[in-house]
Amino acid sequence: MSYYDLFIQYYPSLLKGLWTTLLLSAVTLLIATPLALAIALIRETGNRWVAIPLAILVNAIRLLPALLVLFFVFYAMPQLGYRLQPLTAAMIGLSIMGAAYMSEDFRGCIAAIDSGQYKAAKALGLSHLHTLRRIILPQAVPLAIPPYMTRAIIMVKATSLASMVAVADLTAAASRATSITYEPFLFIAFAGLGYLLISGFLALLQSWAEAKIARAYRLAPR
Amino acid sequence: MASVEQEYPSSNRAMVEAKGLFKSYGQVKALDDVDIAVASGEVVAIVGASGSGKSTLLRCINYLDPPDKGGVWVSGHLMGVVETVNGTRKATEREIRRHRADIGMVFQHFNLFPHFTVLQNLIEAPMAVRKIARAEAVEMAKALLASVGLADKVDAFPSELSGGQQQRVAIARALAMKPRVMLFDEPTSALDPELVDEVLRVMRQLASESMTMLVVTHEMGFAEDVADRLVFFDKGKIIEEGKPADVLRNPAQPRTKAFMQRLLRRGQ
Repeated sequence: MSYYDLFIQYYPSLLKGLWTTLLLSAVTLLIATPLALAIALIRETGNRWVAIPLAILVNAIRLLPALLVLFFVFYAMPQLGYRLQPLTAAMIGLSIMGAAYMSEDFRGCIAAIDSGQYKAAKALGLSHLHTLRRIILPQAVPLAIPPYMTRAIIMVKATSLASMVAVADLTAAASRATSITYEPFLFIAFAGLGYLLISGFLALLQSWAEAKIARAYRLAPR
Repeated sequence: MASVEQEYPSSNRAMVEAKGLFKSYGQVKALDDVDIAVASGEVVAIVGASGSGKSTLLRCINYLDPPDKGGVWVSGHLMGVVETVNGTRKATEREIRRHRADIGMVFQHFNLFPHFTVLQNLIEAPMAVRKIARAEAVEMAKALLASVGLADKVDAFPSELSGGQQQRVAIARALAMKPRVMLFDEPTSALDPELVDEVLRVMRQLASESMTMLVVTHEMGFAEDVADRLVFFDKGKIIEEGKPADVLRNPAQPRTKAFMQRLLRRGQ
């Protein structure tokens, strides 16, 4: 069979895999981002007695291999009585992994804001939440764009691990087609193209966001 | 946690009164039983070596850093404490914020909000804390900027201003809250020498308008000309105070004398 015929035969499952990968990427990013921001804000500026357990949790998660966490959610949780669909298990596992790493990225950006900003805001009588919303975050967000977008790209690529817990994502579809047809070049290359498209879009989004934020805040070099 | 002193200030006319203040950072005693009373309209210069407790006193007065022990009264109100029908209780964070808003503070490093224009720096807190309408806040901000000589910098960003201009904006920002007292923490120490005078000029003007001011400073010329009283700190204690000219020229304490001589040798 020609590459064209092979492709015609398998493209429905490949496209379905691409769609699953897209969905997995979008959902894990949508869950991980606010979670990571909350963790970072609490650890950097919040109550010590909430921050310490969070720090332990984040470290426990980020020090483990992602694949092991996925295996735990998919294979070990059922033993505790929580049986999950493969896609749900992958979403949970990848989201908490991503949130743990991402919270460290955000923490760095929040810590980079001069402590004088908090003192000035406090001296003016501004509340803690108001200070975070109006003073700290607008200064931290521009700093966070490069590490955040890099983290998002890493998370998109890490969704391929879901193929190991029976999720029919792009990697799983490509490897399944490969093992049936013994034509790795075509299918692995196609999968690669799919990941390039998604992460390439994120890389473009980063350039756009950096340019836009530079204009919005006019943060002149000091 | 600060213990609550039930005594009332000895003088009702004092704008700021602190009694028996203690504050430690680990093993270091930053404030060691400090008493000070500042009358309404009085300007007090606070002088001493670095680490002697001057800045800590300011931060204790506005409860940015509450004292370990002792009481601070600002215009008769005991900071950190709320009176209720059956006695007193510890103030909530919100209540402390409301009282803190009555005390303006100016920092060594200005601490303007760099992502805001000069105008936004001035109107943010009046609108958020005092709930003043935007139009009114803007009008007041513009008047204040004119009074510190920066009417043309309304739409500038802090990074576009010199250090002296930034510090004048910071003073205007504090004044926008209509404070009863102004605390200055080494307001000219981070400035190039040629920019010091423009800031001191604004502070002189403020003193002449009867603002109550506590000024931590190494500017002895300013202290002598403007301050009504000079207070000398050493190791967390006030060891000498009096008319600035007297303390500067005729210090009674050996430590004060040594400090003044060091300043003179440095060419002040």
